[in-house]
Amino acid sequence: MNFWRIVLRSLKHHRFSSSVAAISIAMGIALLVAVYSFKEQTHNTFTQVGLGVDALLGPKGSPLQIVLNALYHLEEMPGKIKWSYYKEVEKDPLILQAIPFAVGHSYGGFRVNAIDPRFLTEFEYLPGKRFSFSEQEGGEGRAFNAPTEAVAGWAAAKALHLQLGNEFSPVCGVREGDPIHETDRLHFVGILAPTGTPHDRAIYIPLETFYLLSGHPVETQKMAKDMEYREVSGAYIKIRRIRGGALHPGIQGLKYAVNQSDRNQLVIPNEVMPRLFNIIGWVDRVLIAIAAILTVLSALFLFFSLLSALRERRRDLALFRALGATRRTVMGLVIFEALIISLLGGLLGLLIGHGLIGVGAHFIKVETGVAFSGSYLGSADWLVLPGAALVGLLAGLLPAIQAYRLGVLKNLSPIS
Amino acid sequence: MRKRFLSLICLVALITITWGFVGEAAGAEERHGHKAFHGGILNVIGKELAHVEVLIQEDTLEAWFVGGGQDTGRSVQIKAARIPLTVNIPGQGQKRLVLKADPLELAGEKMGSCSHFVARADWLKEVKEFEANGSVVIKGVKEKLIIQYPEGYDPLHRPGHEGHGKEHH
Repeated sequence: MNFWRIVLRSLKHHRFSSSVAAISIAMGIALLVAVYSFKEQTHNTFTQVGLGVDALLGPKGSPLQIVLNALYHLEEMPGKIKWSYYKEVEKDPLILQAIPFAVGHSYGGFRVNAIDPRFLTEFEYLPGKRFSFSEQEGGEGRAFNAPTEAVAGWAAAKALHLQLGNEFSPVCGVREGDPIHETDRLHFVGILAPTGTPHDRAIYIPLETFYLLSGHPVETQKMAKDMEYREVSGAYIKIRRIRGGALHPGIQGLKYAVNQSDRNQLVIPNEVMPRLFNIIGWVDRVLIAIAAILTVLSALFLFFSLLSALRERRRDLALFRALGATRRTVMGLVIFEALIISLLGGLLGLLIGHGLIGVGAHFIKVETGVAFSGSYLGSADWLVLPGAALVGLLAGLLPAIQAYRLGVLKNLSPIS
Repeated sequence: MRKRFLSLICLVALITITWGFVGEAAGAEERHGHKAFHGGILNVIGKELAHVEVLIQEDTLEAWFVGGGQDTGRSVQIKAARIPLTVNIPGQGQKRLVLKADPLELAGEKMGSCSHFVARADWLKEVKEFEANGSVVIKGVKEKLIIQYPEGYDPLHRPGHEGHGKEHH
């Protein structure tokens, strides 16, 4: 009988315990793969991309809150800055582009961002990529150029079933129950093509419209015309680059100077987000530790099931030896059985892990606009099969040694 | 015997994993110190009353007066419009350098309330090390101003303690 047929027959004979062992290995590996993939994709999205913004000019307060509000349309801005100060910063020779915005409104659960029109026409949300209304790319219409016009991000438009020409009244606030500017009717003239960034989840209106909405106090409405009096929530800043595309090192000096002022600060998103990840990085580590422990326990289960199977098969293996099989052959039967179970577990774990990411990615995209991919190959993926093989080898080693040392005569002697 | 051996392996593995996490956390906590926000060299003023961060680029020396202790991200306002310094350069004798107030407009500074000073001199392009002496009034107190370049002046420096060299943000 062929070696591999013997191995497969043994696996079939112990299919229940072999399946449970493979599934438990798969669970540990699936969790490891999913955690690593989410961790790496999150890091790539939140720290390396920067969403086209090198720095945020904002009010004094939590830098994390400013980043989450300005870039991810979450949280609330902790205050306002004077228009005159924004203009002073804009004049700095290091500044390539400074686009002011005002937040505080919403519609249908999506944030309404009042913003300078250059955001839709000149701003690059990723290197070389500007917002598009092209139908071929999934957009519609055009940018706003009148106070009653609005543009929706792709995800907001999809969730609210928006079409060009639809009218809406912005909510003065971001919480349920906040008052509506009922007498103000804006209409959508454009839907942005999807960008795969949180910009998809916002609605954009002209900055001047923010001040002119009825129901705002006179002090706010005065800001539409009076630049000395005007305030904004913040500004998206692009900094000049030096050789190699690196940020001009003077950004730290600029940040220092702005941060000494009474009411304002310059926040660099790529400095804030890694600090956040250092804090929540412990969650990843705990999950990875749990996955590692789960995998070790699965390996132990495999070890004990092989040991138990060996006890049952002593006579069979002794018979193989008597028929001419060498010690190494018998040892190989056990080792390869363990390897096949663990490799099957590894492959299943990869499939389940990527499936978990795919399902989770859908919900994350709906809630945050941030795109994750189930087909992303993380650093853990390349180690799954070698790792599974190692687990199988370790789990099968002791049973294999026992099979190697199996005594033929002792195990073939009559039982009764 | 075998069960004990296996239990020992599991215990060692768990301890190793935990140790790795703890070790990393402890390492992270140890990595702190005075930050020079402009990439310059920090020099202590008084008994850590304040610092002066000094950066030399080409023929220009920039100085920022910042807080003492760990508070090097906060500016300290100086009333003086000029701070004269006597500079001792090894092998070149003494030279004179005058720090002139250069208010940071974005910080809302003006002459008479300024943390940023600038000096220019051709010899700054070639200088490798020097010690500069002067005086400055900080929070109403006249203090000696000592700048040691490139190591940074830190009279409280103890062996094994991170000094005020190029540790920047």
